[in-house]
Amino acid sequence: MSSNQCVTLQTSDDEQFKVDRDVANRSVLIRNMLEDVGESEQAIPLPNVSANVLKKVLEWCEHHKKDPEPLAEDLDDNRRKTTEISDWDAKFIQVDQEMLFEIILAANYLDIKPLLDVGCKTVANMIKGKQPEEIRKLFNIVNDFTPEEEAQIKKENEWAEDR
Amino acid sequence: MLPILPLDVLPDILRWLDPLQQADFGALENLSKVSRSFREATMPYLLSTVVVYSQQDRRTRGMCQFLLSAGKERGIAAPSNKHIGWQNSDDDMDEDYFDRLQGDAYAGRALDNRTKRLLLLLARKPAFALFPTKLVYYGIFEGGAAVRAVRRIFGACPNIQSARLVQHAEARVESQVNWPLQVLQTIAAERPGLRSLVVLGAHFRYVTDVLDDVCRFRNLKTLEVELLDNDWLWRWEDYDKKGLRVQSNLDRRIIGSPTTKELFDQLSGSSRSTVHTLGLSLLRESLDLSDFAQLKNLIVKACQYGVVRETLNTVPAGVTYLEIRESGVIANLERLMRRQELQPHGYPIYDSDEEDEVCSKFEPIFGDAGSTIRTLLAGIPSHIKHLRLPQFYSSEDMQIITSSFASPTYLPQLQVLEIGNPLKDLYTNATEWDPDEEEREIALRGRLRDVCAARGVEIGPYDEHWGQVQSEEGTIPRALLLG
Repeated sequence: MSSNQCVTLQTSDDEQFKVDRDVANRSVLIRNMLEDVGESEQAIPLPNVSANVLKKVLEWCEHHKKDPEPLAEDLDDNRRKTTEISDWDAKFIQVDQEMLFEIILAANYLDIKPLLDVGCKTVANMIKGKQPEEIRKLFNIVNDFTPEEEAQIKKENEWAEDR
Repeated sequence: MLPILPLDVLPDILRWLDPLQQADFGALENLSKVSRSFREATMPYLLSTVVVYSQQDRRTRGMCQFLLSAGKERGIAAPSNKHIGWQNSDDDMDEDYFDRLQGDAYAGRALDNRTKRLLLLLARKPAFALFPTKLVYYGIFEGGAAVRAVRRIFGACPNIQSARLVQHAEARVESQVNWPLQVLQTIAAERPGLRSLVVLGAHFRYVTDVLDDVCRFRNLKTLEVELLDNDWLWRWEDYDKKGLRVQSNLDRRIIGSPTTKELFDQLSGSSRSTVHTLGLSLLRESLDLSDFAQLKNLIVKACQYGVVRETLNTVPAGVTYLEIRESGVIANLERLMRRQELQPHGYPIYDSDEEDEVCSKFEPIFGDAGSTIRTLLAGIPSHIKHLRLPQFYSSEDMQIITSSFASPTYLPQLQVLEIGNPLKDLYTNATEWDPDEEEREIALRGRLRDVCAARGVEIGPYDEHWGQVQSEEGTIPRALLLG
């Protein structure tokens, strides 16, 4: 592999990853940076992504490097609500919750829409069927509603009741 | 300690919860009760879609019951339809809310209780009224009440830019079948800048009226028109050419009516250079798509494979997504048309000579000896990267598909293959499958998966019949699905 086909990425904890340009190009952020700087041997800094997370993200990018670019209209229309995940992605995303959130944040920062979708679909599936208290527990969220606000919310949500 | 869910990606997560699906709506409702920040993020999604089940006709109620039972198995259901209620106006305070409004006294008659409560909430909490962006209206659309109800909804929800109107398949009365005239004109007056319009269940003889009204929307980006399945049987020659042209620069256009060249040209209008997603149905003759410069996605429904093949020869190289909907359509259409012709007055013709004569009339239209799966597969352009095929009931067809994809030179750029799974057909009871047949089907799909894996083609998540996806609308041409 010639050097100009490779890109060096530098993580927040100063680790460097040399990857194929096709793999790096799955990230719109990196692709734009590469276009801006042109041919360069310099490492691309990724201050918001740690090495262990980038390693995982690159694993996904490597597997999906030949995928067609998703069209915005596909995401918004006919395919938008399919929360099913392909077998490979489902296995890939079987990580602990902290890593799952880190992957989502990294995909968001690196602008890798299909990976962001995989992570978000996974979280959406985790939420389904859970009561508010269970969701709070799952995501470590504090209930900051006052009793008055809770009463107000109950009233506002009455429109959706079965009657 | 458990990690905290990053709030800035919450909208990306909420996007995957569809308020039209019961389980997802429940999830959104529960998320809105988690914390202040969650409620702030969730309410726009929770209130994003106004779903109306028109209460005017008992047949609509019948449809809702059908949807409930059909959707229950797969969780397809409107958020409130665990129990859809219609008002008893004497003791329903919400009804008073409508009665008080001059000129809209009857709007409430076309709405289910839940929608009325929602409109009442939006009136009391103006900030919430900004959240609805879509209207989904299941109904008969008969008379003035539906018009008033639609006007009322658009008046209450200033940001609705998408309308999906689903006519009940059994609407037959003249005042019901001409609903596009009534409802579309109202929407055109209330929201001329509408961006997305889906009309399902239009009667074919009113298709030009639909077109008339569609032409009023100058900012339309998405247009889908699906006829009632029975109206597929109308003679295309009856189509009245009005010379209308859709003026909007559409991005997405799917027409579920017999797509004649005339209709195709009228709908294409100035969109030939802008459309990226195009849906064609029931092609009787091939079309030339070569000047659709931006076309990326092509959906072809219920067409003769020979005609599909000729049409595919003209698609621009930029098309990378191809979806073929419905297999075995020709035989089914023939059967439908024969049945229609054989029962012209509601009772069958028993004279066999007469039957032969009637049947023979359809051969020139649908007879297509080349319409085999091989014809279809051979016609798929080599630049397709993502292919979605319908379910095939015939083992032989599945074997042909598998052997085609086994060759790496066939569709060399293919990355994703999706294919319908007859085992998951909504209209086929799982218990109806013979265990041996089921086993054979699973084995066939397994072989296809192996073949695809060997050449690096991913089998996509879609493995259901396309009709299942649309079943919530109650407009599935059942006869086709049962084919």
